[in-house]
Parts: sequence; structure tokens; C-alpha cells
Amino acid sequence: MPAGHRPRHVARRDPRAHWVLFALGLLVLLAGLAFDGYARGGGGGSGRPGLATSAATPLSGPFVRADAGDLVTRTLPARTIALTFDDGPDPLWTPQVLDVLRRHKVPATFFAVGSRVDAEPALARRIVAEGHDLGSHTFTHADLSAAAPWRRHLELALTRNAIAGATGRQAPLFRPPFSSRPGDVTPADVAALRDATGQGQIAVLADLDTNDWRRPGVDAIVRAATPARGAGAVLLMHDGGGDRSETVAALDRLIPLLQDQGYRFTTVSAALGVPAPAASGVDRLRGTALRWFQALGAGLTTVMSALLAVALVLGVGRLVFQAGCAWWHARRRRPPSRGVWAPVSVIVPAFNEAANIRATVMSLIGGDHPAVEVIVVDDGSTDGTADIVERLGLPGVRVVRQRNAGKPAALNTGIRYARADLLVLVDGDTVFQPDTIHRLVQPFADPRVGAVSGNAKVANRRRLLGRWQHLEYVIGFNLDRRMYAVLRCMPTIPGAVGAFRRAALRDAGGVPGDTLAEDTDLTMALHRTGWEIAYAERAIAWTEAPATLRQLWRQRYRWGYGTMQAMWKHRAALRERGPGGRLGRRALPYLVIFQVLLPLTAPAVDVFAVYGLLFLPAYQLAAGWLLLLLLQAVTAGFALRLDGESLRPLWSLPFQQVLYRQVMYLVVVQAAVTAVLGSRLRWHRMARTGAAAALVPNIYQDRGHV
Amino acid sequence: MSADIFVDRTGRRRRVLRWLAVAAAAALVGALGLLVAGLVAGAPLPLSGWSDHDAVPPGSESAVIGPAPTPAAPPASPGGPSTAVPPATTPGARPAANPSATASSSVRPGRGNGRENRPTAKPSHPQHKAG
Repeated sequence: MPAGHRPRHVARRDPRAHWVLFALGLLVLLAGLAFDGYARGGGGGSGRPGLATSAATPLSGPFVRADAGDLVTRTLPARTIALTFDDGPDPLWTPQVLDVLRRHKVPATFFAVGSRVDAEPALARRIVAEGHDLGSHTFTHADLSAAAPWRRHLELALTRNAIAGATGRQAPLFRPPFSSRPGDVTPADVAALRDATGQGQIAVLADLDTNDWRRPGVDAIVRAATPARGAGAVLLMHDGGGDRSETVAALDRLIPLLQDQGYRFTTVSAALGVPAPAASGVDRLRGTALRWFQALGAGLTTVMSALLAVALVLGVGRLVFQAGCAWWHARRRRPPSRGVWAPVSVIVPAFNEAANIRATVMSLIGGDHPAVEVIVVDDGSTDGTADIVERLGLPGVRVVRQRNAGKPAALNTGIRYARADLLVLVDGDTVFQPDTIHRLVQPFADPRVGAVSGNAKVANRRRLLGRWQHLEYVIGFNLDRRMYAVLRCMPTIPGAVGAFRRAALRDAGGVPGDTLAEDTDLTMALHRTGWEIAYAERAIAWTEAPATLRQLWRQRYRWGYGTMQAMWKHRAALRERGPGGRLGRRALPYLVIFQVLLPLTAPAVDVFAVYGLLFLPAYQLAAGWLLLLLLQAVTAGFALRLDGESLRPLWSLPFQQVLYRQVMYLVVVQAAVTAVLGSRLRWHRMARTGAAAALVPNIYQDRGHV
Repeated sequence: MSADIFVDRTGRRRRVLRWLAVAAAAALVGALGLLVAGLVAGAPLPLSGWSDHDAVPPGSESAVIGPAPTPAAPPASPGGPSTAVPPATTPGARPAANPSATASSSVRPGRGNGRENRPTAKPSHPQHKAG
């Protein structure tokens, strides 16, 4: 966690144009998902559940068209059969139906669901090529009588476009889904028919409903399909929407049976003398565009489902693994708690830290550890930071002034002035507890340990933003650090609280200044020079977290970008042996996945959540969300307990999902774009309010409590 | 110098990426264009209507939505004529049957949503009223 100061580079403006691209991408994603969800929404079958009241004036024929706003109907002549098949095209059953029809040299009429025409355009073309009619059965098998007028028109227009795109023909015929026989229409049906036929299409109801979609058996279908007393009939069957083997078998028996009774088979268009006109070039283009977009939507849905599954497995696996590591770390036997008493030099780089510096310095000298010297390196402050410290006149506190050169340079200056071999590096806005320094240096009892990370906590957690950050620090950083400690691959010792051996710092070449996350960079360098990094979770430092979204954004922008820089700089660790290899093969992939890649895909996940709100069953969505939240809450509660913290802030966890989560991933997007574009990043600095300083008296009262 | 990791010194990377971004934006706008184009409805069908002169086999009935079914129009139209009674607008005010109306329906214009068949309907009104 670098917090710092470096007003040196005059940078290019932060890149912005990518947000347009980003928004466009999310819009296309949402549109594609939504369209796919809409297109998949269709069902099948005929007839509605429950009893319907019939219209006062039933239709008297199956063919219905609008004539000057009135509905005109017709029927088939006697001894004429129009076979009609709904709900296709289906890649499995439609070809079988077509084969039977071809064998018997009989034409039929297919009422296709528009979205399935888009999915199976070749089948639609085959239907037309073999001399059958291809009519519309709406785009998603929508119940037109229950649909709003705009939806009716959309359903019919989309299907006309789909059929025009696939076959090059218009579709003058349509059958309303769930339609009944002409005598059974409801008032709503009549209203819908009046509306839907207004665009010039002819509605085709059925005289005989075989109910084949209920799979009543081949015999029953044949029986239901045989008209009484040689009457003409429109037969309703289905070539899609489920297992249609009975339909195929029944058809093979029905056709010769009816032919023997003297029946003639016709398509609806031939019976009415309404051949399907050729579609115009524009209509065909519209249909092709629609098919492509539907294909795009289907592809996006597949990709998103896979992505979501991967993200879910990774996320849950991470939580479980972290919790396991933390549990193991917490139970592990500790080294003798008070073994290291060697002198310590504390280095405080300070740039305009007037608000906090007094409290910081006071907290450093008032502690348990003997022989502590404090070196405040004033990095060209303009607010009198150095004067404040000098006026305190404390023994063992020295002030070094330098011209503004940046935080790494200030740290290196301090290291040069320091006398002790154990160095504690502290941010100028951080307040220690009396036992922090002593606890922090205890892991140095092990000579292999070159550096120790302390436990930084958010001091200003009264407001919501602070509380969220508090939770994030405790859950993320604390669990992460315990996991890193168990895996021996800690990638970051926070700038707020860390201890180093002088020899280790020398091996790493001092504090590096070529990334914006000098603490991560330094820690990685220490690994690669062969030192072990330990975690002293009870060495607590109180730090002031950004209090406004803008400051939070700047801080995380710098962390994100700096961490990416440090990872890139130390990428060779991937192939190293020893501690460097552990860093390269454990911590780096972990950081890449969980701090770069998953945040970059998180916007898409949120878009998918919006899609879920629209198209998934509410209980499914709610159950998934609650389960994830519960898992998060349990992990968070465990982390809070490990840290001896109250569980009360947990209530703000659900609200983290809106706003905080988005800020956290958007800033990673911004950092990644900046890195890829190669812009220079300005060094932003947080405005200090002295919130950490305000804590000092409390800490002294509460000592031993934490 | 510090912060030089990732920095694009020559500006070449930025130029290449700018073109890539423009291309990506064009592709995305194109995808939205597909959607918009696919959603646009075509013109009302240039329907030839159910014809009075072809294909409809004899014997087909005609019917209306209305107070009562009406008998078929004169069998002069081989296709089995259709009749209509508007349920809402009372045809009482309309002029009496135009004898040439049935014939005119066979020289109907090429497009429309069935209005060209209107003349066929008109002769039926007096019949309906008579019935």
C-alpha cells in the first residue's frame, strides 16, 4: 500500500476515450444478452391451460384476414386437407417430417417460430425449396392475445424479417400461438387477430387440433386428424418444441389413409391463392442483420455463462482457500513473543503531513520497544511538517530535510541516516500502537526473515466509505496476507507498516523508484534476493483511508497501476528458484487473476446480473445472490473475528455490491488502459484530515484490548 | 527514470491502439446497427389478397364476423367469394350494391392490406340487411 507524494512528473492527461468504447461494449453485451434471452423465451404447443370464454361471435373459418378493419374468414372446400406444422424448424424433427412429406409427395404448411428460423435458416430454405409454405408463428411463440400491441407488431415484424432473410420470401400467412379452432376464439383473440392482420398477413387457425404435442400415441393422433364426413380441414400438428416421433409416425399412416378416402392435400397459400411474394432486397438485408445479431447474442450468452462459471469457481475457491490458510495461520505456534530486543530505526517519509505527523511521531516513541530512534524525512513539504516535529523537541527523534524528490528517495535518505540494523518504514499518516514496533520485529528471530509486514487498519471507519474500506482491509488484506504467509510468497509489505533488515534492503538495492507501488516493488525485489517475508498480524498500524470517492479512486488507480508495473518488472521471477520462484509462481498468478483479470471481467458480470433481473426467474437470481453474499459474510465474519474486530460493520456488506464494487473494478480498467496505452501516470496525493491522529488517545486507553 | 515501466516513449503504441480502438468502436456500432436493422418492421405486405379468380377450390365457404353469417356472393366469382359485415359500423348509410364491384376486385392494385377487396364486400350489405 504505497501512500505517497511525488509531484514531479508533468503527465499526459489520464486516458478517457476508452470509456466510450467501454460503454459501447457493455451496451452491445447487454443488448445481445437481452435479445438472446428474449429469443429463447418461447415455448410451444397449442391451446391454453384452463377454460377460456368463447367470443360472442366466433369465427366460422380457419383463414382470417382483415378487410377494411373487419375480419373475413374462409374455409377449405370438402375433401381437402391442409397439413400445418407449428413450432419448428427443429434440427431433429423437421427433416423427418419433410422426408415423410416428400415420400408421399404431399405439400404442407409450416408455421415457424422466427427465432428458430434464425437458428436454422437452412431448414427454412429446405421447407420452401420442397414446395411447402413457410408461415409465421411469431418470433418467440408469444401469446398475441395477451401481448401489448407493440409486442404483437414486434413479434410479427421480426418473424417476417427472419423468414425474408432466410428464404428470400415474404410470409403472408401466420398462425397465432396457442390459437384454437375458429369456433373457440375468445374476445381477446379476436382483438389480437384484428390488430395482427392489419399488416396484411392472413391468420390461419385450425379445424382439427391433433394435440400431437401432448404425445397421446400414434393412433390417437391419426384419429384426431381424420375429418368427419369428408369435410375439408386444416390439420394442426407440430414439427418442433419437443419429441415429435409420434407426429412423424402418425403422418406416415395418416397421409395414405386420407388419400384413400379421396382427400387432396394442399398448402394454405394454394388454397387461398395467396402465393408468398418475393422479399425485397431491403427486407432480406433486415432479416440477415437480425440473424447475425441473434447469433451474436447467442455467442455472447455462451461466453458469459462460461465466464461466470469460471469466475464463480475461482471466487468461491479463493474464499475457501483463504479461509483455510487463515485458520491454519492463526493456529500455528508462534515464535517466543518477546525475543527480539535489538535497536530499531523508524523512518517516516513525510510530504505535507502536518495534519498527522505529530500523532505519528508521538505514537512511535511512546511504545514498548526500547532503543527506538525516529527519523522524519521531510520531502520538501510546504506546510511546515518538519517544523512541527522539531518543535516537539523529543529525544531520539531526528528531522532530515531534503528537496522534494519523491517517497522512495526520502526512504533511501532515511535509511542512510538510520543507525540500527532493523528498520521500520512508516507512512506519515499512520499511527502505531504502543506494542506495534515490538511485535513487528519479533519475526526477525528467524535469521532467514528479511522483512515483516504489519497489519494496517482503517482508522476513519465511521462513514460508509470508511467502513467499506475497513471491511476490505480486514477481509482482503488480512486474509490475503495470512494466505501469503502460509504460502511464503507475500507480494506487498504495506508502506504504512513494515520492518526490514538493513542487509535485506542493501541486497534489494534500497527502495526502488521506478514504479508507483514502491512497497510492492521492494517486497518483490526482496523475495528475489532470497529473503523470507513474514507477517506479524498483531503489529497493528492505524491508517487514514480516503474519505471521498475521488480520493479513493486516485489511491486505487495508483495502487493498481503500480502493482501492474511491479509485476511486469519482476516477471522473470516466474522462472526463478527459491523465494523468487515462489513469488513468481504463486503470488504473481494470483495477483494477475484476482487483481487484474477478474476485475476486468467484473463489468460484464454486472451486465449479466442486469440480464438476469430481466430474464431469469427471480427466485433463482435471489438464491444465487444470497448464497454468494452469505459465503462472503461468513468469510468476512471469520476474518473480523481473527482480527478481534466487531462483527457489526458486516451489515454494510450487501451495499458494497453497488457503488464500491463498481469503483473497485472500474479503477482497474482505468489502470490497465493506462498501462496498455503507455501514458505516464500522475502521482496523486491524498488530502490528509488528521483522522488517524485523532485516534491516538483512544489507542493508549485501549492498549492491551486489541 | 521512475514510472517509465509501461510508458510508450515513441507514441507508436498509442497510434496503433487508437486505430484498434476506432475499429473496435466501429464493430460495436455495427453490431448495434444489426439489431436496429433487424428490429425495423417491413412495409405492410403487398398481399394479392385471397383471389377471386384462382386456386380456391369451389365449395369453400365464406363467413364473417358479425351478427349473422351471410350467404355467398354471386357465384360469378369462381374463387368462392368472401363477404364481410363490419360489426361496428352499420352499413345502413352505405350506397346500395355496386354491380361492378365484384368484377373490380379482380383488377385490384398490387399492394395494400386487403382494402382492394372492399368492393366485394359491399354487395353483401344489402343482402345482409335483407337477411
